[in-house]
Amino acid sequence: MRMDGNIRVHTDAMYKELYNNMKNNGVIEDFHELFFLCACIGYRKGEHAAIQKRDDRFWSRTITPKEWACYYAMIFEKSNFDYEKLSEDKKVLEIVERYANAGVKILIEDFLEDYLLPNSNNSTPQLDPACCRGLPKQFVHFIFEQAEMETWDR
Amino acid sequence: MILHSMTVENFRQFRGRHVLEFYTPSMGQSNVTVIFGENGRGKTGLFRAIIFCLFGERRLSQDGDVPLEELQLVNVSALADNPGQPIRTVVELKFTHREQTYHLRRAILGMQDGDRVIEEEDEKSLFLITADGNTKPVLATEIDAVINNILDRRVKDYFLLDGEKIERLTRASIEQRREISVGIRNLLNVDALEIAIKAVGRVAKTLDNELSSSSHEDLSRLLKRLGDNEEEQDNSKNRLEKLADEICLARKEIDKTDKALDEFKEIRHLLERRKSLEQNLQEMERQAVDALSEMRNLVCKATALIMAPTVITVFEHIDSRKQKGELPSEIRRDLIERILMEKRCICGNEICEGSEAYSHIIDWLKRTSDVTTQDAALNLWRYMSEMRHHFSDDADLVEKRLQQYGNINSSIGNLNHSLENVSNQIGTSERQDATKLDVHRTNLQKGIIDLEANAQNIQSQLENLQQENDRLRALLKEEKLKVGKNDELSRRSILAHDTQDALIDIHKQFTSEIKDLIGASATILFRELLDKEGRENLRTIVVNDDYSLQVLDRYKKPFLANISAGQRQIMSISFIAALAIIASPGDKIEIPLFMDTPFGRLSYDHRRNLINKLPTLASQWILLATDTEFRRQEAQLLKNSGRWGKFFMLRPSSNGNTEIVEQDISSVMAVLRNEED
Repeated sequence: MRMDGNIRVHTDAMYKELYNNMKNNGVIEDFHELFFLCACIGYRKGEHAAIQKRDDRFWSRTITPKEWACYYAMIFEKSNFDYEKLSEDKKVLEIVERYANAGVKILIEDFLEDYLLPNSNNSTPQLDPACCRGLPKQFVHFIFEQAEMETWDR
Repeated sequence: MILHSMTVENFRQFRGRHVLEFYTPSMGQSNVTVIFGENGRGKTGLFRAIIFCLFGERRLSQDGDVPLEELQLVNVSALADNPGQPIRTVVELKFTHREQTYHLRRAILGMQDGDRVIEEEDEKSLFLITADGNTKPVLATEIDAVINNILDRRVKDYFLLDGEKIERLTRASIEQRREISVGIRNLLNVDALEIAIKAVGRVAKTLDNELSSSSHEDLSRLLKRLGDNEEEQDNSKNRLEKLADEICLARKEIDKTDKALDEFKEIRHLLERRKSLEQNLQEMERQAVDALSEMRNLVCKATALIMAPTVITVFEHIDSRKQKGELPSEIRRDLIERILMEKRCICGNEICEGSEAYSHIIDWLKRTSDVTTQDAALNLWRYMSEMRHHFSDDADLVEKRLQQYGNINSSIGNLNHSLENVSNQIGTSERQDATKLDVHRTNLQKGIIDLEANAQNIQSQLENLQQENDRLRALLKEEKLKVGKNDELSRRSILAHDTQDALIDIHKQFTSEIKDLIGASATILFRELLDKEGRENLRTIVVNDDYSLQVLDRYKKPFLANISAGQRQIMSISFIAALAIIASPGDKIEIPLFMDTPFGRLSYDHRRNLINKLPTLASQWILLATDTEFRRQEAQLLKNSGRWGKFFMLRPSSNGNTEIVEQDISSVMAVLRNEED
């Protein structure tokens, strides 16, 4: 668990515009936030998908320790608590990329679809600027709803 | 003068020919006519028609400085429907004055010429109707003189008491003093005396100039000082006059603004409500931005909550290993690896591969991991532990913020809904400019206060100059007397000045007598119109030397500043009616008295007194009223007075025109409003 900061994190090239749009419209501050959300959604839904066309998205140095911890926890749990997995930062991120790739699809289906330009979903999903006004608050609200759906011991 | 009938044809709002019969001999003492209509229907237009017919004048005092070309008399829709065709506008009056019946007719021709309307005098005629019913024409050149003998054109405006004039006189201002001064001056009718004062003054001045160029040094010096003093007084008077003009202009602008604001009166509370809603909305939106920003800081925490079950599972797994002492392992992995490689225990005994001891050591090896992995696991345990501890707080915080944001959003929704409702009620955007008018009015009011303060300063300088002038005149007279024994020029100068002073004294005395007369007449009326409480305390109306009005209380102390708005209106009405009484021979107002929406701020008692008193004062009383002024209560009072003769309604017809409908008094109540309405 070195939290190596020099790894390139990838997403599918088809989501390049979406990541940019989300950042430019003030929905997220940086790419790692959206990536984290997508990875969490993908993991919790048990969905992962190989990236068809890998595209550099951001450096791993922007990932916060808490996010790293969650990524390790995913891999650790999924590997039936294989401690050896805890020292392989690059491999961890490669697996997380697949969860994030599945998660982003779920995010689009469950939430972002109404905010996309018509017909953009099939190729490169893009936000519709006309619909973006209320997006930041709805985005936060969506995350809170996802969190509320999870159960944990309070 | 008794007005029998008036005919208007294509006059202002009245398209076509309309006849109003004010009086028939069968009416006897019933000398009150009510002309009832909304604002803008043409009530004042009917008074204008009378003044136009009598004097050919189209301007009333209330028109102020409205350009003459804007005071169009020819009916607009008749012009529009007949492009290029002349339209004849006619007003005819039939009246009796001192047992002589007159038939007066005046007409103009109007034509639309592009954007402007040309109006030209067409004809005027006056016929005397003799006792045997024959008519005798008056020569065109003599018509004006005959009419002027019946009603002096200078006092014509006193026979229309409109709300604006009444309001103007209630203000202790330069405007009020001007109005009163002009009123009194018109009543004095001493043009010859004024011309004589001016002429003698010019003679005295010429003689003084000659004297100052003579060899009498002291006399010349005094004359020079007097000349300077008079010049300075003239300058001050001019400045005062200019200030008065500016104040009048500002007041007119305020009146105009008030009229515009009146249109917004009904929505004023809505505008205030909208302003307050907008302020609340702004505050709520600010809170929403803050709340959103706080929520955005929670994105990472909230996303981590999604991972809560995993975090808890992982934590529990590593923690159980820790509890069992397996993490970090008690025996270091590198030590076990060395023992296995050297096949010798730390106690020195040899360990054979496949032995029981060897198997134990292999088991140990399986339970241990390398330092890096152990450190990573411990690190993960720490993060998981920390996150796990915070989940509950984070979830509470997230929930709280969500609720907070939800509440703010719901308030914003409610405010927007209320705003939409209020805006719908307010209507067009033009109406939404009322607040700007308010600011404009406040600025004008401030400007007037400054101008009045300035005028007061100049007035007191003027008084000082007058005192100095009196002193210099006394000195000059002494000096002239000294010199005059042997000097013809001095004697003539003294005589000219004495003559001028004597004439001025006569003018002053006459003015003072008229003021007293008006004051006395106004006081009688004032006390009759006041309610019981007012009568007990308010005793006398006085016209001050500076032409301002004052009310004295029972102790003969000035009390004007303390009287109510309604009492001020009664004071103004009394004063104007007194002017009209004095302008008429005898103790009655000889000319029909028009009152345009006079009840403004009057209480029920004041209205009752006015309704009972005025018909006894004037030959005819023509009351122009709106539905808020003339309600069933007032109609009942008028009915009870036994003086009510006629009722006309001005009703809108097509193209902005007005039709005049006479209604029987017995059926009037049905069209009037109740006080509660």
